Parts: sequence; structure tokens; C-alpha cells
Amino acid sequence: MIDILGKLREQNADRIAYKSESDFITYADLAERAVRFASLLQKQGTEPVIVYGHKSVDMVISIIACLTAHRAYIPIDIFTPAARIKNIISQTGATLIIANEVLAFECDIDTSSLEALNIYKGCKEKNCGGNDTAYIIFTSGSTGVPKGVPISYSNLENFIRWISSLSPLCEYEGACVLNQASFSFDLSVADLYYSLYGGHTLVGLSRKTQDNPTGLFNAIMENNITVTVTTPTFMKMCLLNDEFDALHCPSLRCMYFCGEVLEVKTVQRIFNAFPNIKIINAYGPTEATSAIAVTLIDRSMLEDGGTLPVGRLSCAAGEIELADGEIILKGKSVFSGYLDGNPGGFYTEGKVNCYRTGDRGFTVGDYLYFTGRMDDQIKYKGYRIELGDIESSILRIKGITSCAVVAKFNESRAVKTLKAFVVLEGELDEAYVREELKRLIPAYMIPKTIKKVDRLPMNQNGKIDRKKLCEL
Amino acid sequence: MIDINELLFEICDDDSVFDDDCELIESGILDSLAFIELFDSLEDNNVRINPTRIDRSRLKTPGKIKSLVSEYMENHE
Repeated sequence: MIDILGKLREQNADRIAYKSESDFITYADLAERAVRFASLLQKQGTEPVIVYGHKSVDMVISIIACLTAHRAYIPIDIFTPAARIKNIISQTGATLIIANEVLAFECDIDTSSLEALNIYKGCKEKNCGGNDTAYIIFTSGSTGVPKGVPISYSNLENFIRWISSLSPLCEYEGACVLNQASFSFDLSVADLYYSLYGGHTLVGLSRKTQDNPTGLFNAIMENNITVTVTTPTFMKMCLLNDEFDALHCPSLRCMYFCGEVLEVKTVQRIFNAFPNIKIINAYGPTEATSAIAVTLIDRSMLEDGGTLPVGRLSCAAGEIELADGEIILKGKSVFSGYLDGNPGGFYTEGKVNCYRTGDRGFTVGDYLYFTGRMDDQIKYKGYRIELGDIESSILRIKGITSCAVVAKFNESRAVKTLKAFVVLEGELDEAYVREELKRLIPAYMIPKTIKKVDRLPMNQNGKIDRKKLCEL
Repeated sequence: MIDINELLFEICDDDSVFDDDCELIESGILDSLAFIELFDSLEDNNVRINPTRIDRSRLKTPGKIKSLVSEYMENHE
């Protein structure tokens, strides 16, 4: 059973639990405020709650309040287009939005801020557990509709126990943990719960700071960060600064990576700057609660310059198997199917949840390796994207009759860029297409180049010839 | 000598970078990922420029990046 409040109250009351760029909250205050807000949430209903915002203290309070009130939370970042948020509201049946930032759109369900919720007191505290939904994270869906992945209290509990027991993460006391990912991206599940359950201080970095190499470096240095939880892309940005090293960031002990391919070149640069750093490479889809496998990366793994392992089978949060080259996950971390009822890769074996990931992989001894996807799903800038999602959105734009989106990869199989090819009558007004896309999909999904073609090339099977498009 | 236009084309996959006045930042051609790749590639060519020590306006166009790199080369000959 998850006793999140009990855990928060066990921590040093005066220690800062979460620090944003403009505010902070101690463990004692976080527990107290979460209880208050939970009381209103309990009175208001039982349906899921949209937790809208960015990196504020109120986002963390809202999440803990929802968990305490036993209402599934759906974290949505401010950079999500309104059309997508409305779709999520209709899919989830959410009856409340906790608006931690000004809502940039109108909606027909209750909206409230924590300020407004502050008047309520007397939450009926209860431990939450079992198969009830703790949170729902939406990922890109191949049909153009965001796909809801419900994660149960039981999944979350298994994940928290696992990540909190991993070496070297379990060895730190009073650490400062860097939160890079937005709360709507499940990488943040790792840093949020590892930090709060371990009594550490979580430091949230806004998108604005992350886009500025100087601000980024200053934030890491000034906050005496001990553990970073980031995508490899983010770390590459940090490494551009030649002062990002052990001399200037002496408190940095560990880097935890998940969300996309960790390249040998990136690790070499990290070891050059931080000779004694511990590097954890993690693997896992949203469907298996943020991550299910990890491995420490050491120098010997860099020698052949090839692919780095993404986990060790013997210390995974569940069972990992390979079937015809596809990675299959089983156990307590695996979800119980998508929100829309579509099983996708989900199935059961007796009472055990299983998930066919669609990831290609192989094992060598105890180590698991990821080699790519079996479908059109990609990881770009740390985000999981279905190319079909982008294509469906492009096809909603007036005048475009067909389109294809392709990803170009570098030699390490990391996505370098996205290109869209469109067929339309008349001239391509690229600015108009981009404006329309901004309304429909997040910025990171908008292809870097959009080209007009007379027709899309087809292969012998009558399908779009994506290889040929990549060459154009 | 590094061919900056070719390098940018390799990174950005957009042939407008062959125009030295092409607006790289405003147009979104040089996004955060391309930005990282640009400095990575320059480093591979022994041009170590710390992006935190230069004004972003110096990356505005391929022409301005060329000047930046030439300046670096002159100072490190």
C-alpha cells in the first residue's frame, strides 16, 4: 500500500521537498497542504483530475493531494496544445482541472486553483493501493489521438520500492535531485518519487532555463545537484559548457538516463568531465511505470564503441523476455491495458500482466540491449512519438490530401530530425501549415522540414516507401 | 577548412542553409538538437567554442557562424 503522506511525514520536516525556480516547500508543509487539498478532492468526486501546470510547487502539491484523495491524476504540461487537452478531458471523464497556471483555453468542466482549494480542511486519510489508477500519462497515439496509459497504485508502489533500492541511488542521504522532465512525461515519475521517498530535495528546472545553456549550468551548480534524472539530449546540452565538470559541480555523483538512446560518445564526454561519476542507463516504456531495468555504465562498455546496455535482467523491476527479437515485459510494474480499452501489446498470463513492447532487443549474459522499434514509433528529444500521430494531424489541415513523416537517424540510432512530405493542390504555405500544427500537436512533434511532393513514392507492397523518402 | 554550409546541411537537413543569410534561429532550423549537434561537430573538427560564452546572435545565419569559426581559427593558429 502506498502511504505517501506517512512517508512525507517521516522525512526531516524542515528539509525542502521541492524547489522550483521561484519557490520551495518543506516536507512538513507539503504533507499539510496536500491533506487540505485532498479533502476537497474527496468531496468533489471520484473521477480523474487534470493537474495542469509546469514546474511549480503547486504541481507537486496537486499530485500528492490526488494520490491522497485516491483520485487518478493526469499531469498536463502548459506546452500541450488546447485541442489535445480537450481530447484528454473527453477520454478520461475528468471532472476537475487543478489549474496551477492560467489556462490558455476555455473548457466546460470545473477549474480550480490550489488557492481556491485552500479553504477546505479535514481530509479522510487512507492508504491507497491495489489496481485503482494512481495516474494516467498520455503518449502519442498512431491514429492522431493521444493514448492514455493508466498506472495503478500497485504498479507505482512496485516502481518506488525498486528505484529506491537501486545502488547507488539508495546510498545517498539528503541529496539534491534534478527534475528535468515535465510532469506529463513519465521520466519525472522516477525523480519525483525517488526524491520524495528518499527524503531528498527535488529541484525543478523550467523549460526556459533548459533552453539556455548558461542558465542550465548555473542551475545545476548553484543547487548543488547530487543526482540528475534526465534524457541524454539534455545532458548533451549541459556538456556543451566546458565548465560543466567535477571541478565546478563537485556535488554531482550520479546521472540517471532514460527516455532515449544513450550514445557512447555522450558517455565518453561525461567521463572526461566527471571521472568518478556513476552513470545509470534505464529502460522502460510508460506502460511499465517509467522504467523496468537499469544498468551502471562503466568504461569497459565503451571500448567497442557500439551499443550500450539498457539494463540488467537480474535486477529488473519485473521479468524481461525476448520473443522473436521483441522485448516482452511481465510483472507488477506492467499496466493493465490502455484507457481506451484497446489491448495493444497488453496481455495476461494467469494473473500476471504482460506487455509486448514493440522494442527490438537482445541479451548478452545478464545485460539487455535495445536496438530499435518494430513499428513507426520513435524517441525524439526524449519524447515518444508515433509518426502516424503527426501524419493524422497534418491530414487535418485544409488542402493536404496525403502525407508521410519520416525520421532520420544518426549512426547511434538516435533520431536526428523529422521530415514531412505533403501532397496538396497549389503551392505549399509552410507558415500556415506550421501554425495549424501548433494548434494540434506539441512543438517537439512538428517536423523540422515540410516539403511538397507531387506524389508519395510507393514500394512493391503498395505502401509508402519511407526509405525512399528518407533519401529525398 | 570546415565547410560550414555542408556541416549545417548535414545537421539540419535543409537546403536553405546554403544561403549565408538564411535565418537559422528564427526559422527554427537551428533548434535545440541541431544546436547541440553543431557544437559537437565543430568540436570533432577541433573547433572548441563554448556556447555559453558567445552571444546567440552570432549563430543567427550560416554567414555569421562562418565568421565565428574563422575568428576562432585565427586565434588558435
